[in-house]
Amino acid sequence: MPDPIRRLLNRAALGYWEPAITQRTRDQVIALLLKPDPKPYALEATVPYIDKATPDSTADRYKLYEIEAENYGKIQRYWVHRMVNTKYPLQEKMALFWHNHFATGFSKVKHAKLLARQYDIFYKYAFGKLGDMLRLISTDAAMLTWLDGMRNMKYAPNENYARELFELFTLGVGHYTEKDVKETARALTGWQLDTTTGKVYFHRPYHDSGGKTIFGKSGKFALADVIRIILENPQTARFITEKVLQTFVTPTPKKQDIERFAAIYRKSQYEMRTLLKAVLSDPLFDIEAKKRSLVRPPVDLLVASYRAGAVPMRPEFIYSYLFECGQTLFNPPSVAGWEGGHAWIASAPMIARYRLAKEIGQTAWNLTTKNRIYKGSDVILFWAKRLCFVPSQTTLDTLLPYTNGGSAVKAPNLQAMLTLLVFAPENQRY
Amino acid sequence: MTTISRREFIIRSGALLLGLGMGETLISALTSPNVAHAANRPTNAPKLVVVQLTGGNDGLNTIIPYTNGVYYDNRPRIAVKQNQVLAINKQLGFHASMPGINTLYQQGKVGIIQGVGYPNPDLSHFRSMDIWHSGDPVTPKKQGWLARYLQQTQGSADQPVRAIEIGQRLSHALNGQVHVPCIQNVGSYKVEKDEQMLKSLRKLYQIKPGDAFTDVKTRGNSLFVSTDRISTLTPQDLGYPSTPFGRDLATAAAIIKGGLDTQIIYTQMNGYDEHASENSSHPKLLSQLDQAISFFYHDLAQNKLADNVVIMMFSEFGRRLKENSSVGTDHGTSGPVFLIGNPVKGGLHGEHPSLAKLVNGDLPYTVDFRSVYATVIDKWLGGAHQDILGKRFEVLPVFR
Repeated sequence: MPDPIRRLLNRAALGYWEPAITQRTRDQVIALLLKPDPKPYALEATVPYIDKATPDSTADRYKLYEIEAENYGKIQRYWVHRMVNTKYPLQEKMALFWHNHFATGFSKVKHAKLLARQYDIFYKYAFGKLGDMLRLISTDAAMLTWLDGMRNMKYAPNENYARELFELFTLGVGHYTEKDVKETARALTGWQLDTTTGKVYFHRPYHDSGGKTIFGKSGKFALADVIRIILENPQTARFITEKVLQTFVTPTPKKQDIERFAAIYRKSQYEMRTLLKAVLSDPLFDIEAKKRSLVRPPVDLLVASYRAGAVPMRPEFIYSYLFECGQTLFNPPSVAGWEGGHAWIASAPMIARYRLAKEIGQTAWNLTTKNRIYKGSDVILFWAKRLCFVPSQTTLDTLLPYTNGGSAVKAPNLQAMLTLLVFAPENQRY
Repeated sequence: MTTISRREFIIRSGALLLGLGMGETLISALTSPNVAHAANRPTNAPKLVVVQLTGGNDGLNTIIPYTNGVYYDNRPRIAVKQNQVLAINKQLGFHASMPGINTLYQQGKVGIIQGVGYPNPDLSHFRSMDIWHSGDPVTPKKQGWLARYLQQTQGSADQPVRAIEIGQRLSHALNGQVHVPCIQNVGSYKVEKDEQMLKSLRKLYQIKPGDAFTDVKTRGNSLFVSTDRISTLTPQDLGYPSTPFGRDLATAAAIIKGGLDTQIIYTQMNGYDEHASENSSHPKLLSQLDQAISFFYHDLAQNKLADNVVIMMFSEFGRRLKENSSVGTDHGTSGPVFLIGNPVKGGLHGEHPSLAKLVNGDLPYTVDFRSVYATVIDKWLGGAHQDILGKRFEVLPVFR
């Protein structure tokens, strides 16, 4: 597999991906990655909605909370499984992108079902139009709970969602006024959540149908108008584009690059597929990928390692790894999402990365033997291909004592070699 | 805009450019496999234990204005009854679930700084927390205030455990150029037991001139050194409450007693976001807090270490005076900050915000939170606060 394809897989396909092996050019792989899943399987279908408020006895309620917690674990695990086994890795990666963007957490939502439902939106519309995404997320049960949209009513407006909609979801700090937030909150009133069933509905009496002024435009605005106004603002395209570039290209995108891609995004009426195609095919992508300029997020490393190792996952390991790394799925630390970058390689997450390396080393070490690969240098080559990186001289020097000259490497050494390769400094970035 | 008189006075303004544009410091010395251990005896250097009450602690139900009618009028269902108050004077008293800290207060070891907050309060948890952590209410800072302190006062020798966070992830307050280990407990903070493998890991992360990935490598090396140091500690859980916070303070005690040259220990206690049914849950939290803090204090005192340690306890905001419809309280503004320890000048400091003169339904602040930081930096940790906070703030007479 040519190196540019390997680099593309690291960043855009969550690591080693069998279907790409037969492809010859980067563009072919990009086309393959951008093919959407025609029949998304709903994660929502895997867990029930549990009404925990209704039962009278505390014991019953306690029991229900336990089941809820189990279901929360289940959807984390299922999502990791999906990412490892998917035929649509970029779509999964984009679902993760949107989850981090519209960061919503179990700590407040407290319903696995609602978080799974939100994930289904992220996945289904991963490559879609921002307008659709905003419409669905603004009336999504988990989001209405998370940012108090369900408490936003005509006579008691709650600005929480309106504020984050501008600050974190579309425009960024400094591109709106307090008055815009207040008026937008009024426009978004009326969306209610039935907490016994988890269903969202529009309750007209709670909606403030009066006139509002948002960004200098006046009218009897409601949700659709707010989204239209947001999309008319070129800042929205810049804001989302910058985040896409930070996720796929470089931690510090240049202003002219943001402008360049934002124009493409905006022209496509905010279609993520178009933006991604432009970004992934751009020469800048491979220049940055060659430098491995991004710190690899814990979930990416987990999925890539399991793909490389082709071994079954232990649920307990997934939970503790994600927790220790600080990237628990469905529970980002705040609505601002994960901090990312160098926070991913602070001390505690670094220990967790080593534990992952050991887990893979101890379970996947015999894949070389199964493939009739015995010689030390061949073993290194085999894993380097599957882990999608070229080991540095220091890494090779470190592995050398574990090889057995030209003879077959012994089992404990195979484990150690794989552990060291997964934990190698170069593998912590991509 | 708030109209209250600000106690902060600004002598010199102008933001400091801290660490911007600076490359990664290559700590080549760290890669040496033989890191000399300092003699593991407790040191006399001043130590700060930060206790963050996460979620926005209800200051008014912690230090209760138990003779104030306005308090009782606004909280018909959740006001703390007078017989549930441990009076400290004719106006204020501790919640009855805090007998331990109350006793320390009576002994003159607890300084309560009242009405701490910042201008133009932000009622969002994470933004308010960010403000407290970065020490700047206007421009968010890339590095936390303690991280800037560590960098500004960095000595020539490597001090990989000069600050330690006890918990799951590093707080923004400690996030910066100096790498701070974040440990869950003494026992679990290990990379690898096998000597041979550990040697290989050090080799794998060795930094050579012209190397790439030095950001990853320096962090890896800091980790190897800090795990090395922490592996010398003995767990000290005996007698500590078996709550998460109790265990965290036991870890803090292990660090202090074990003689690491750690100056700052950061801990958190969660659950203070009391939007509903505050009556039943808040006293439980205060009780857990009280038990852990008082045991920690007495543990240190017994080991003759209490003169070297100060606890600073804060929350990202206080809560509304008026109770909400769910028998709880919503996000508010100012609240008390506690300093606990032998070096502290006990008593009430600053002035209590007036319950009769609310700003947008919230308590105005009377002390800028950066005044507390300035005081802790100048009078306890050692340093010049204006270098860290960007300008001068009033230093409070909270230390002996």
